[in-house]
Amino acid sequence: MASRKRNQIRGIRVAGVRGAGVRGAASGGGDGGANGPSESRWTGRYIVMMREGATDTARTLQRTAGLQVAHTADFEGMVRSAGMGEGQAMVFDQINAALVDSDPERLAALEASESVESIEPERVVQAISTDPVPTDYVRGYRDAVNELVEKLVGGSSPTNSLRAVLPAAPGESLATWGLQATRTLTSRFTGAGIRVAVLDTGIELQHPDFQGRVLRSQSFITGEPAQDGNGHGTHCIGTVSGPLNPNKLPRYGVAPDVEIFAGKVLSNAGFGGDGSILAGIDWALRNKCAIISMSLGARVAVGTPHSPMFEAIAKRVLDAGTIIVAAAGNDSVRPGNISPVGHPANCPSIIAVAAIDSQQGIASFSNGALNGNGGEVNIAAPGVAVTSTWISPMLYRTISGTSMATPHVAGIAALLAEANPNVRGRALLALLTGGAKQLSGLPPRDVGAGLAQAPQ
Amino acid sequence: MPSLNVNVLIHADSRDDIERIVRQARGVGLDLGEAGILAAIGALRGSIDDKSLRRLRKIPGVQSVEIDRPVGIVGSSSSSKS
Repeated sequence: MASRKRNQIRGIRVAGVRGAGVRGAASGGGDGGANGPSESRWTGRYIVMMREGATDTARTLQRTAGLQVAHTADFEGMVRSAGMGEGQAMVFDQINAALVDSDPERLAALEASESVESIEPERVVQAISTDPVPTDYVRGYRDAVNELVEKLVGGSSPTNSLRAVLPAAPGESLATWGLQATRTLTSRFTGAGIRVAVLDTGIELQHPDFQGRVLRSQSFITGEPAQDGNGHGTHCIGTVSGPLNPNKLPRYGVAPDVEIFAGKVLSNAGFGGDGSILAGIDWALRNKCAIISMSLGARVAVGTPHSPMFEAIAKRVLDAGTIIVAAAGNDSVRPGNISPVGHPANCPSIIAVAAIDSQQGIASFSNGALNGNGGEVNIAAPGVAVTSTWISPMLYRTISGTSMATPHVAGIAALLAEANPNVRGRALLALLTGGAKQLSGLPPRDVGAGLAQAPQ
Repeated sequence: MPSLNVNVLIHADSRDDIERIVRQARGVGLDLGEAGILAAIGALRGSIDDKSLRRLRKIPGVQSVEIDRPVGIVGSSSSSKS
């Protein structure tokens, strides 16, 4: 227990959390993640969970760490924690936990207490939407660039976007490098009859490449329709299911005949919660999707276990014959700093997907298998400079991430499902990983079984 | 009353009893919003005040309760990644 708690505290420091006392105490290297924009996900305070049976949380906080303590009951009906200062704690009597604003010495004293089960940094749900680059600014920039392109090259077609005047990557005149590397172009299969759910920011419903397709969409974000206002979801859906003959070359879709189920579980700002994801998984299962693709996640610290709830649900989903593939995460800054596979890809029953580049090297940002018991990388796929669909008016875009690798794997799983009509669930996973191409010089820590390959 | 967004996992062998569990969960204050009953996976999502959390956990058939955590696009921190 003591070493587990030490790991949690080390995880806090390594993650570079802006916390009282550890503010600025960023990682000194090693296995931790890179510091950076994700720091804004934390409030700087800590949630202290007391052990089952610990009877007096307030006394422990006062005597062990010298904290000033208030109880939630003292603040009934008020916004309780906003005014907390350093050296203060708010006790949640009903759940045997406390919110603490403290320096590292006091945290260390709490860590050593036998009454304390764990200490975790407090996340800010709203703050995760405080993207370092404001969305409005990006949209304004995009619109300005598009306008400039229109003036330079003329034309008013919506497909005459920035990409239209940029050369395709070398060797991508007909198909993306990702489709070539995964042997998708020579596959006899197209995903016909297979349902794939992509749980993300939704879909550009008016995209010309999706017209006439079997497509169902559903939003699980209150107040936002399934129409993608971000672009990320549209990009992922394009990689899974883009057409054989898109309006603009290169071809970019792995399984052009799958039935698309676009579940919006992330807002247009790109954020959601576990609950919306679970709702999306439930919807996909009810609609008998064979594959669920999730290019989403949350960063975890070294030593953080997977969510027992997500694992239990992923097992149920597998039992029902559906597989879940999820992005391993982009928190690494290789070669020096490798971050562990994030949530929920770190569940043993969810396939964690790493990203490789066109030279079949590991992407610098791709997370690795630092945590056991599900924290492994299972497979890799193209995730650097991936071209796919985007929201209007851009319509196409080339971006990078394990988010882009994940739909490659989902599409290939759909091809395998079509090729093997009686193979679903765990057996399909075995086919997927068993058919992967080993990548010389890259350890399983980084790429799992290797590069996903389409059935021929 | 301050509330927490929570997800509730129902025991595998209690999934046929989900209607009773929903009634009891509502009885202890769980507010099930739109798409709150996830019968296909055996889970509930909703919000509840923190003082009622223990009572929710003690409902027969409830396997676990987890506080909702934020999840986002993987790696939205850079314009070159997504």
